[in-house]
Amino acid sequence: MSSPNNNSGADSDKKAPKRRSPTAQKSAAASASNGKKSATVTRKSAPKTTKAAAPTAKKSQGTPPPPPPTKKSTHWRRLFVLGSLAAVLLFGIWLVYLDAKVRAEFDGKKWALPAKVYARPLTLYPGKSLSAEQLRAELQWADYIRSSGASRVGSYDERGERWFIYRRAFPFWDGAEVTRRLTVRIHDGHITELTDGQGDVALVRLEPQYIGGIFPAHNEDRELIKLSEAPAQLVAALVVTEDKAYFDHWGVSARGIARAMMANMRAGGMVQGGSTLTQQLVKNFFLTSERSLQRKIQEALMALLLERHYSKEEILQAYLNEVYLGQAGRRAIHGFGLASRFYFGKPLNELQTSEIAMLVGLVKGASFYNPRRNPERAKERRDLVLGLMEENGIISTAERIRAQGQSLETASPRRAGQREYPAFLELAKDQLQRNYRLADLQSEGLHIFTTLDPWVQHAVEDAAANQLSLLERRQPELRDQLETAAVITSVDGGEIRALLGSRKAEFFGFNRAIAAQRSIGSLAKPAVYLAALESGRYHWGSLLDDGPVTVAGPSEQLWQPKNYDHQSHGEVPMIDALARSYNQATARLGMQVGLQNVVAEFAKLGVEQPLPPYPSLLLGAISMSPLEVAHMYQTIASQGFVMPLRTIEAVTTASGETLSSYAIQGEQAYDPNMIQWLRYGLEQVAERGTAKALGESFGIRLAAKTGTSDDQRDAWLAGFDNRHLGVIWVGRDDNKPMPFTGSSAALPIWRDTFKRVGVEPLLPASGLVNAAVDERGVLLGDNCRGSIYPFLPERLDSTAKPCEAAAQESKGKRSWLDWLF
Amino acid sequence: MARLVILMVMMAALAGCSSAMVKPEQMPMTVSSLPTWDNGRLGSLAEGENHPAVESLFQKAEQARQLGQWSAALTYLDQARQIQPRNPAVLYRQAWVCLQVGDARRAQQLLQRAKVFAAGDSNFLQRIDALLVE
Repeated sequence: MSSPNNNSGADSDKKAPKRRSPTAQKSAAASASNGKKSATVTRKSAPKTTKAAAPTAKKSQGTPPPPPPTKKSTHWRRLFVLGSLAAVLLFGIWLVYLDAKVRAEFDGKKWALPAKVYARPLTLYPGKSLSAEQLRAELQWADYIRSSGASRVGSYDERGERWFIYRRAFPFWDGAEVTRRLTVRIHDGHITELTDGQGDVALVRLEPQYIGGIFPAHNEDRELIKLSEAPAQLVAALVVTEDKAYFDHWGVSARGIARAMMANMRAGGMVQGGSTLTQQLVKNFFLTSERSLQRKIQEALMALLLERHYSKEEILQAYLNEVYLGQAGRRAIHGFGLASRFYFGKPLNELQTSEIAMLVGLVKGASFYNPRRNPERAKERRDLVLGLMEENGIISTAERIRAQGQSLETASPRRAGQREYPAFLELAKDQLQRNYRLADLQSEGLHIFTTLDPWVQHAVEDAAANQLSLLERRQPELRDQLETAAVITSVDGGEIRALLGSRKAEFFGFNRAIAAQRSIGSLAKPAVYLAALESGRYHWGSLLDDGPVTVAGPSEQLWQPKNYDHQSHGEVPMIDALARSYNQATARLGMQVGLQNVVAEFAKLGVEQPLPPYPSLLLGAISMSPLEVAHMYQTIASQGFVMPLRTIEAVTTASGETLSSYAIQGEQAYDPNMIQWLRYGLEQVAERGTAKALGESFGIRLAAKTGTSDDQRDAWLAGFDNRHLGVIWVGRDDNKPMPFTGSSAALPIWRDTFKRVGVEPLLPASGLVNAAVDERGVLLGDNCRGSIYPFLPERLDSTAKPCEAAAQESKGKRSWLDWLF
Repeated sequence: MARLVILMVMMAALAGCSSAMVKPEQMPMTVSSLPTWDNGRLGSLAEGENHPAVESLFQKAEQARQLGQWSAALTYLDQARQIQPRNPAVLYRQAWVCLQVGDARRAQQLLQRAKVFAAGDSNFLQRIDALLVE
């Protein structure tokens, strides 16, 4: 990482006599921005003089001639001459080497441009579900500023149900789109009107939010600009502040050095550097921040060489892109293009004079003059730059007074448009590396369009943070012990909409969503019940024995699972065993269905890791990451299609050429009706079982399963509505028990997330029919009385018994309902 | 007079209803949302009755198809799918384009998915089956 520059001569520049008229300064800036100023600088050779000749001649008058040189002195002289020649030769070689280095690196200078990663763009179309709250948040995250009438690009206004948005131009993966003034009407949570200047609009996108980068090792980030794109004021202000003689010197300024030395001597320490802009660039480009005489000489020589080969404009353009201007977490902000976006949330050409001055002021020390941490210092520095700008005729006195009167307003560095989403980024990077080399991702300036939905992501982050705080308030001894992870996907496409790898959502670190392998507990049960349903021997009304169960394990040890409440519940309908998550009934069912069949069911659901056919597998004594769990439940949520969970929508080059775009994939593993049949069981979990808090909160049809591993080390909830699947995990990194279950720790996070995102009820199962089952779990024929359960239509004909026959069989086992009617 | 007032109130109420935009997921999805099919040749991707947002993407996909830009066509169709993820007419078009670029496996996956959501519409299923045969 480059270090800040400390070479400004600004303080003394203010008092120094003017060397160029204001008009000349302006023309320098203007010519800089035009990029036409020639670098032809004539080098004058210094007249050679024989300094020592005269005094020596004078001295020789009247004195005896010197004795002839002895052999010894001749030898030393020769040696001296040879040594000098060798030194000159070596210096020459070094110079040639430096020259080659300067040219090779500057000619081939290609900044490693990190890939820029974007969230999904917000699409707007009539009929779309969209709340005013979400639209407001998304506009703010995309750095839109609210202003009356939304008359400037990048601004918006809201008046009642009507929203006015002046959308920015953006290079989307399927083509660049120009700026557009939009009017959106939101009524009752939906877009009811969408127009632009020409009339109705069928579909439009807002530009996507930046969510992070794929950086090289030093984490340098920048947005390249051309000199002609930089405001003339910026270039001029930079020159008068950092290196007033820039357009006059050859790379090194003797006057600048002398002035710096004087200032340092007066101050009794290092207060000012004498480096030119060229030297600063050389230091950042080619050298380390080491402070030594040799390095200083090297820097000066390289600056001279750089100026010998390249124009002032080329050097200035490189400087504008290279200079270090701030830090955002791991990300080093380089160049004025990115700094403008980072500090002010807008492109360089939209900056005001006071903002330009603040950025120029940062060059002297991005950390020292950080406007967020040291606002007073930054303001002082900004005002000094504004003073210099006025003094040099770049701005008028009135402009200077106006600009200095403005407060130091910067956009929040923690705003959504500048923060990163580490867990999601890591997964996206992993998935990208299947098709792209890491080096290219780190250096080619690719644009990565992803599936992340910031609205969903923020919802899950907030929900997790709030719920973990609540849990810790209940159990203060667990403060900072609890961790969490979450995966939210779209039910139909398998697109990952949110990923949380830690409760500290903004920190890069252990990504639990991908890397934590945790026991899944009862989240395994749907695989057991699905195997049972597929076997043809069970339906949801089948009776299961929930009595104590003992199973011999692989090495003859006995496995005796217990229910969570340490009670046995006798014979229960299969639906109750799942809804209430009875371990004993499930273990017995799994053994009856066959361990191999259950293992096969996991594989069919998309679990890729090989699972040992141990009985404890039935109750989830297997470790999976939240992402793997989400993959398994995705198959259930998407009606039986095993889908890769994907993060990448498209990849384009820096110039907008599409390299790849991805679309939906998914192999059909199940008949959708079979999955609907299983889904009924999960709906019952949410309606009246262990996740009934969800049914109570939302009052709509949802599917869910809670999970709690042995000794309550892991708390899970996997559930879906008509649009999203969410998998939430809560636990401790040291894998110690917690006094929480899936229902008490993970469920509230799911609930709060979906409350914010909005839920849509699951559609009723279209492929199932209802039929009656008697109290023994026997399927009855048409018009018989009994408990009603959904069935696959093809299962009815073969097994249903006429009411009479069933009644005969169950003689003596009449229910009170039979008595009543 | 009273009847006239009631009539006007009723008309106003109806007018109010008409301004409410149809949600994409509420659009009926029938075989009429598919392009025409004649002797193995598919009509324009933009043909058929569809939600305006989806239709605008179908039009872009058709333009891309005419330029032979199959990848771009797929991109537009997948955007349409994200708006109406269970519209078999979108999945059908995606499958057709996949077939044109030789990705038979993905075409099959998409058609199987389309069948799930077209269940109950025998005409639609016939069209899907015809493409599955290809």
